[in-house]
Amino acid sequence: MSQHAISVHNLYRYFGPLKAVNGVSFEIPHGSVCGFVGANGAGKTTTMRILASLDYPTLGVAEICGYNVVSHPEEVRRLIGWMPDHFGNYEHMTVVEYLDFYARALGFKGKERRQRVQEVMEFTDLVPLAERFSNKLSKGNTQRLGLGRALLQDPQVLIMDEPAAGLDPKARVELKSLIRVLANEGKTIFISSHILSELGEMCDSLLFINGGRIVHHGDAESMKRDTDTAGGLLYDVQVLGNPEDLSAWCLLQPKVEFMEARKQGGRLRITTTELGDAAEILHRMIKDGLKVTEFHREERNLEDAFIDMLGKIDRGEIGSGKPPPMPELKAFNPPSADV
Amino acid sequence: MSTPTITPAVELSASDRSTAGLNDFSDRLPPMLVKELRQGLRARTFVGVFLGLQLFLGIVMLFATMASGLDGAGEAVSRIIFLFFSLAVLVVQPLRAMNALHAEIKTTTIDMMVLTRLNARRIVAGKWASIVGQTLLLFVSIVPYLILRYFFGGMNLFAELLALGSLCLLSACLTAFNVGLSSNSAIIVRGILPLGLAVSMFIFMIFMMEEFDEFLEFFALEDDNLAIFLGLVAGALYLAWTAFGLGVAAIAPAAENHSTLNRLVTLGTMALIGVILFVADADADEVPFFIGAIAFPGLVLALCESNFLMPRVTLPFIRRGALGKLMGAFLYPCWTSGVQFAALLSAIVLGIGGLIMFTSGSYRFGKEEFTVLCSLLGSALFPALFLAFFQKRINNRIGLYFAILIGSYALMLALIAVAESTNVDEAMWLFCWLPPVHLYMVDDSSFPDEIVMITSLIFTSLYLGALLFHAWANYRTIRTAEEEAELTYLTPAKENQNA
Repeated sequence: MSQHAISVHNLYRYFGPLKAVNGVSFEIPHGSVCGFVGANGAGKTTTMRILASLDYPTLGVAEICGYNVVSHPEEVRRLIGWMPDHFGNYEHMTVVEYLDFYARALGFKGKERRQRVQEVMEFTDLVPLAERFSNKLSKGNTQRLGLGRALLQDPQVLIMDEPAAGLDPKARVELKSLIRVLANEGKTIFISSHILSELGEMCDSLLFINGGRIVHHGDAESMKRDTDTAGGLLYDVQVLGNPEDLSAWCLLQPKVEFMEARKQGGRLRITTTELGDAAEILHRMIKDGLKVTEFHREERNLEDAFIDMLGKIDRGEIGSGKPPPMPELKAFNPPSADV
Repeated sequence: MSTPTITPAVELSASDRSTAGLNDFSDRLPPMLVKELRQGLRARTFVGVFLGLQLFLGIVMLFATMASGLDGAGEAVSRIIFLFFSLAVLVVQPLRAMNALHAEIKTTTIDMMVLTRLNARRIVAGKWASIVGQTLLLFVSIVPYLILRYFFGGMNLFAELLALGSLCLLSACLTAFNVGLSSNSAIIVRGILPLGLAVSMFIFMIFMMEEFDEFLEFFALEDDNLAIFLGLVAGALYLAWTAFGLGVAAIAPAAENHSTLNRLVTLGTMALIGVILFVADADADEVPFFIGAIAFPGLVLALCESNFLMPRVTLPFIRRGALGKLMGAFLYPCWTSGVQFAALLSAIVLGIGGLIMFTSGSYRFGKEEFTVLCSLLGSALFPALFLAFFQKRINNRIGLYFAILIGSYALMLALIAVAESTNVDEAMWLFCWLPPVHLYMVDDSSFPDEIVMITSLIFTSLYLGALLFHAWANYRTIRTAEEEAELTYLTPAKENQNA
């Protein structure tokens, strides 16, 4: 068995002039949960599709449990469960028939097939919806159906592209708990999401991709730490009266940075770690006539780290180096989609 | 009297109940067929056609029974049965395949399917089999009407059954054709070609109704009709297979090679049709056109290959040494070998045509016929030049191929209209580089046959030469793939053996 569940080395995927994936390398060990973070168009879906053997790299190697996704797609497909961000469902086909079709297509027969469908429906809580047409489900139920389909062959590696996109909070919580159960079962989960706080809670590591390149790979804490170049502490401040007074006041203050406006105030970064300085700033606020009703310290979260990371990239502090030059293309020059 | 003991029914859990109905189709049936039947039998189109057919035929039978004493009542019933049945199976059913694969591709459900153990051919075959299964259901449903019609008299049972069976076969071929084309995103391929076929089937139906007696007479299979019938069946099956291959190639991963089989089937069918024509003692002048018609789909598919070859695909060839590599040069699924295969087909077709023209002395296959053959071949090669020289910018090669092919014939029609209205036929020489124009020139007495033939031959050879030149310039694709395959798969195996 290969040491890593997912292994990617110098992966490139060009669509004409667009460099969707530009020299990406990373490894994910067996049984870990890895979050894949990046802005829209950063190359997440392309990388995931290549890993699922649904697209070809222009160059480079992608392996699932030691099997190359290009030269051994059949083996790879037996090991993975793929859940795309969006997928169509069939007309005139019920939920149970939908799962039954995929169970048949995966080679399950007779009693085993029915049992597998039943298990998956129970796990994803689809039993009450068994006779509903699959194309008439809500977004949340559709995602559960997609997860059920991906789990039918009990995959070792689960690749999930934005599974929580478009879900309401309740459906998101349900999906998160399902993923947590799967993670506890020891499956390797590679998941992309925009809801970073949730990724931070459930992932062992986070991969940050930007412009087709990996700019960070580590756990959530290291991502927060690495991006916190500005240093300092974050405070939530609520004031009575016009909240814009707070941002105007911050502009005139040393060591204070106005981060974002909130309903009755805003979020400030005090660029010092001395608690005495914070007390001094609060004192100055009151002295300058701001009617402060709340002043409390906030933990840095992944969204902050994400924004900081983007800022650092914009400023050229990280990710500005040239990607490894792509070797000359030989035989392996994949065609554009012909369909 | 003892009271019967009642065994209490075991109450199934909700979960058990939900999967209780999953035995409606046997495990032996292909999954795609099960899926498509579950969906298809609930589709409004099928239900509408099925009920509509029953309703119409029921009413017709009612009226026919009332008029059973009249002469020709039986034949009238036969005509009506054939009319409605052929409308259902030749027009409606094949058109249902028009969007079969594209819908799956568009909604990305095809991604989920290819991740299962279904290979591309099984997916396409399932789509096809389900529609054909429904067509057969329609056929079975009209059998009671045929039995009733038998009692009206004047029925050639064998001919009528064979005719209906042939309509089903034709429907299956048309469905395969449309399923294959449905993989393409270009509306010209996926929409216009099937609609064109449906219109031609409609015209065929009108012709069939007008010449109904002759139509049935053909299916009595007297005289030479058996060989023609078998030839038509072989041709239809081959065309369906080729189009089918188009769909398979569109959704198959690059590690699967379907082109080699398609090309071998093309060569095999050309040989088979040649044998059938020989046995049927067909006119020698028809042979090159029949062989050419068989070569055309294979040639199109070969010319629409992309310049990409997976090293793994070359393995079965390089294991057979130099001979295997030589075969691979014509059979690998890539542009270079596609062009070489197209050159081989062109050489066969032109060779047969030239041989018949020069040796048989048949006055019916002369310069004009050879020019037509050259022109048709040139028309098939012409769009490939665009694919060759703009290949990096082209996404949909088959779509572009057909767009240029149809465009070149449309341009020819426009040029003819201008030439006819202005009486300046000589201006057509300015467009002699456009192969379809030769068809007009050869038909017009103002152009000398021999010069037109030489012109057509020169341009066809020129286009073929240009394609071969481009293909050989890209031969590196094949060589590198073979080298990588040897290094990756064969050398380690040898080293292991030695160790």
